[in-house]
Amino acid sequence: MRRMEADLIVIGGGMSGLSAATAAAQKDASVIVFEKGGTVGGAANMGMGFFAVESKYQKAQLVNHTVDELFKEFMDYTHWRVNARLVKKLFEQSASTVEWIEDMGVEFLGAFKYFENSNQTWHIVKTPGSNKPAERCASIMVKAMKDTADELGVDFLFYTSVKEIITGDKGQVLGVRAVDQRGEEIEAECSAIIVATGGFGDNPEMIRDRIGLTWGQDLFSFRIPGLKGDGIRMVEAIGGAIDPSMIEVTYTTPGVTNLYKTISETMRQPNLMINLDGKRFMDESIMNNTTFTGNAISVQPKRKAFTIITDSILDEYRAQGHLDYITIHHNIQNVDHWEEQVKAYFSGDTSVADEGLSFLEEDTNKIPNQFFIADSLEELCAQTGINYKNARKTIDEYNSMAGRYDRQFNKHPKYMRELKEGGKWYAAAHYMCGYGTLAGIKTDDELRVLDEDWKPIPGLFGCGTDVCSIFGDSYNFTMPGSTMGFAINSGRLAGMNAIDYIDSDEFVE
Amino acid sequence: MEKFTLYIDGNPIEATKGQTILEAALANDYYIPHLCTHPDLPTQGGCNLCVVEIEGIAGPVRACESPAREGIRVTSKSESLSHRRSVAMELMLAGHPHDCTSCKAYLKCELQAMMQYLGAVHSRLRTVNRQNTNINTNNPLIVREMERCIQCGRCVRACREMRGVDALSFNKLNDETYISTPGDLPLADAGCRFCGACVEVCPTGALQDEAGVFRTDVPREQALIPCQVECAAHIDIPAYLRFIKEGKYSEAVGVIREKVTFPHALGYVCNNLCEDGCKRTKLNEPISIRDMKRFAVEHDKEQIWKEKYLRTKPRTGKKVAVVGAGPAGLTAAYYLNKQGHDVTVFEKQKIAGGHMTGGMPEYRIPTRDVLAEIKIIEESGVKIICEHPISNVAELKKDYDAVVVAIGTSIGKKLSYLPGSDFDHVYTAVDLLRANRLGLPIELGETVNIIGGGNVAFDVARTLIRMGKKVNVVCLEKNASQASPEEVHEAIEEGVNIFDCHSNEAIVGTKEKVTGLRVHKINSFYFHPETRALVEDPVPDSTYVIPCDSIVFAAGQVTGLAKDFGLELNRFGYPIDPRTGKSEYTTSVEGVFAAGDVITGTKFVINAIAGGRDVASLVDKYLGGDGEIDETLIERTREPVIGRIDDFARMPRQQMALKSPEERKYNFLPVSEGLTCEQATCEGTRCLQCDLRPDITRVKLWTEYAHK
Repeated sequence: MRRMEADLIVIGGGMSGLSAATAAAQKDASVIVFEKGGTVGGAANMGMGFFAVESKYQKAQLVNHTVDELFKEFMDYTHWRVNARLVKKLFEQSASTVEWIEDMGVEFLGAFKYFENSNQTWHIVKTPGSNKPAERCASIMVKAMKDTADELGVDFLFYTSVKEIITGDKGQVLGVRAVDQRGEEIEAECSAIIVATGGFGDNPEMIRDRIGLTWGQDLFSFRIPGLKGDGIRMVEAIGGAIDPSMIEVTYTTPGVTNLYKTISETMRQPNLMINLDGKRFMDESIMNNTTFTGNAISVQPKRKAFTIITDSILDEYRAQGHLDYITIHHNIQNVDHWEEQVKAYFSGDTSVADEGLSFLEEDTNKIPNQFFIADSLEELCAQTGINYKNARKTIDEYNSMAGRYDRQFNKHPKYMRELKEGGKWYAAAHYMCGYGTLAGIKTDDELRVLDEDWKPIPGLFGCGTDVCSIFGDSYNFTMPGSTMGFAINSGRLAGMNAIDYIDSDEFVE
Repeated sequence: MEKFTLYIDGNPIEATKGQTILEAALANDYYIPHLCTHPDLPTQGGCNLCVVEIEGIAGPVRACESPAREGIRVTSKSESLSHRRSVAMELMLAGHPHDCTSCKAYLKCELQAMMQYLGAVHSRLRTVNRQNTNINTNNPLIVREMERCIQCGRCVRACREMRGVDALSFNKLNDETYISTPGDLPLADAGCRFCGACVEVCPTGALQDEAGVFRTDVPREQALIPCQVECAAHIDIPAYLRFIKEGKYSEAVGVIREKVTFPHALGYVCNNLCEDGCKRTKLNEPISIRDMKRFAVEHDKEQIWKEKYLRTKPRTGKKVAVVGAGPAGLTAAYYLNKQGHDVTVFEKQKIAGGHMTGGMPEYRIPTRDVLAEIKIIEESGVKIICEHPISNVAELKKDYDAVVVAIGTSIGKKLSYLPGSDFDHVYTAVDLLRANRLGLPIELGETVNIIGGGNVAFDVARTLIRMGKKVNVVCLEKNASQASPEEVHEAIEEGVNIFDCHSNEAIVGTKEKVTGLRVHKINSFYFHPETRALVEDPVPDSTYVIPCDSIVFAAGQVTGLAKDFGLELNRFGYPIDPRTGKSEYTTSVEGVFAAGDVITGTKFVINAIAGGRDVASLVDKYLGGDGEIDETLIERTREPVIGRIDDFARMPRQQMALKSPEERKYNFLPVSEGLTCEQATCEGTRCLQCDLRPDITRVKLWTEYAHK
């Protein structure tokens, strides 16, 4: 048994925990961070940047979003069913957070949109020697933050899991019990704790019990190793109140998306999408808003849907020279690799795939083909299980509106591409996906964790995805960078608030 | 060792002769980026990340290949070095998948950490689509996702140098180098010993352990040795298997005795959860761990562990009473005596041993072998008083500083709702087995019907066969599936009749003379989740009587404790600690502790022993000791070089030869003579030696260095 002591203990060294630890250490507090993995940054290592409004970059780029405008848009989007005080604080802090990070030696490329109609709030980290947005570039920021935390004397314990939070007779937090990978137990005392464990994206049981979705059946979300819901369970165990959690919804074609990117991106163009009944259910031009699309799919039979194209549409893309939608993230411009990837997909050859999706290759997660090819619509329906009669009717009707006014959902005529007979038919099945879970631990706008009576548990704070309930029922895709923005800003606030609490009259010994 | 100083980026670095610049830097907590170098492996010098400049030497050199020399001035950080490292990194990233979120090595990946450290998160080079990543990907235990491979060659070096197995190689096909086995043979055919060293040293997610092999709910270094994790007493199984392989049987027993007091008894009857954990199961079949235990004890001539085993700490003058001389009580007694306390064990039966000598059949666990192990405990200084029941624990507490209640579950249960269960010739499994073991009189007649279908029912059935009875086992489950299949199979071989899918209605006859058991057939059944009541789907008009002269209930056991014993009990008769409301090592009376079946319900000998150890530690602390009961009886080392063995992966599991039914059904001798020496050596050889893997040094990422 090893004993330790600090003013503040941060559970989890992801983006929010790292921000919290750094902000607290800047207020001269002693801080210990417990991290299960070997490095910091958590899920943020996959990201590119974060939300801010009224930043110096936006001003320089003449982006005229204001805190007030975006705050209103955000609250309207959530129907005011979220903590407005917290949202306002985070928005107000966001511009200074960009400079806070810059002071640690990080450069930004500027403020970006994620898609055409989104706001320009995404502050993407610059990669040394490059002026292009790069996947994973937020890990550069992670390194800079760790270096800053190190300089401030923050003590990081890697490969170490916190097992429980210890509380006193007044309900106040006293410390934690943890165990390292050798099995050595650690008892650490402290005056305040910040829980920042990143939700339960890698815990199918919790996803089933708390969200009602079955991973591998109607949900194919990212499972970043280690996101087991530790924080939520530990807080629950000491009487903390738990709010409903949600999946940060997007959509995916399992075994295709991220693996065969040309197939995936081509099947994510704004062409006809129908459900198992063979019926249309959305304006497909919304497909570049992955949250809206995931939501729309989630209310279809069996929570799945299909995009359908024909060779004629591929020919149109070849003639046009590029796809309709090109994402910053995947950057697939055209259908040049279509034939090659289709052949590889059906031969099971992953060597030409762009990326490996390891968890889908495990026996337990193996799923049947989700991309289909057929000589006729009838055959395609037989393969996919789509109702042929309805699909035929839908497509006849859709084709009658090709290039013209979409009487049903008012999709732009330029995306009303006709599905022509005479070539192959292709379908891709789309399911709900997600980056992980959001929300769970109930906090107030000072990020104090509340108990069942809405009273703060003395000394306990939360930040990051464990507590991120500000999106309400759906991630706000129109303000890109929001999740990392929440992580970093809530972490920063929690870190400062925790130290203020320790120094205040409210401190419970 | 000659020591001297060199300077890296102006900082003095203490070095020893023979170290490279990289080794010296890392030993001084000074980080220089590196990927192909591993602390336990010879240098390869391929990744080019550790490049440094040395004053007076033209051009950059690899720190991993450059010897540390006195006084040299090394630069590890400069713009040109950063540039070189970025290029080296981007070359690796050009062929590496982008989407780390689907990789199991996420946050434990050295490449990912290197991206953070170098700020090189993507490659500006053209993406390399590697052609050979599909080769040799279908192997047991080791998952190879070779698209994630950066060809650092650590796995090849680990297999060759660290293990002496040499099953991995750099191959070439279509002008592309990749890592596989010579001739691209499957690992099993390439001589792989499945030790996992390659996975352990892999810096990325290219090599992974098959999902589900290692538990994720225990600390990793423990989880890597699954047999030891699954064992309730955490015996160092790989160590004793290794000793057996080397013919050092006494050393093997010493290792086992570090954690358990009854190696021989466990060698007969342990429920061997260790074998469920055994990694070799995924290759072909688990090691016969339990039988190896019995083998070791039966071939231990020297008992070299004994002198240390019997040695006790200085006497403390504290007195401890243990109630019940079963495995839990005797284990607690042994360790408390060892800690220096004077221990007296009170046993109500005429011999000690609990279920080991009274509740299980003689042919499974011979009395003489159990008594021999009890004698060692007595030799160590424990006093055992038999035929001395304790009726009130508070009385006892007056004369002792602490009391451990370990009376087990020694009272058999009858299903009292079954009409006729109070008839004279209706017994419980405990009654029958104890009568048989202790030679007590019991009137059974010719034919006995057993109610129940678990392992205990078959213990009773096979005992009765040996007593010359005709035996029927009547149970609800199809094929008596509550019992182990081998048990059922061997019982049928010996002549036991099984009436499965049968539900009982009543015992037929008079109080003085049982004539049969009235039953009906059922299609299916379940126990109501809340009321626990039996809910069945009967076959219409299937009622009949199975004739018999006596009935034995094999329907579970209880503690038999009553309120006047002096402990607070729950409604099932188990003592509880009122502070938690649960059955625990502590009870409602200060200084009175409990362990074994009396708090866990009927479990296995290994659980009782583990409980005995835990409670001994707790009681020792209560009496002012340190509670430290772990002891190394046998000093041992592990040899990391294991070498090649042809066809290692296919070596079959060795089974003890079972005597024929004719040989075994007329006596109470053990049903097998145990493993042969040859078999035991083979089983020792088959072990994958999972304990070697935690010896491999964990690579520290940049995050853990003080200077970087």
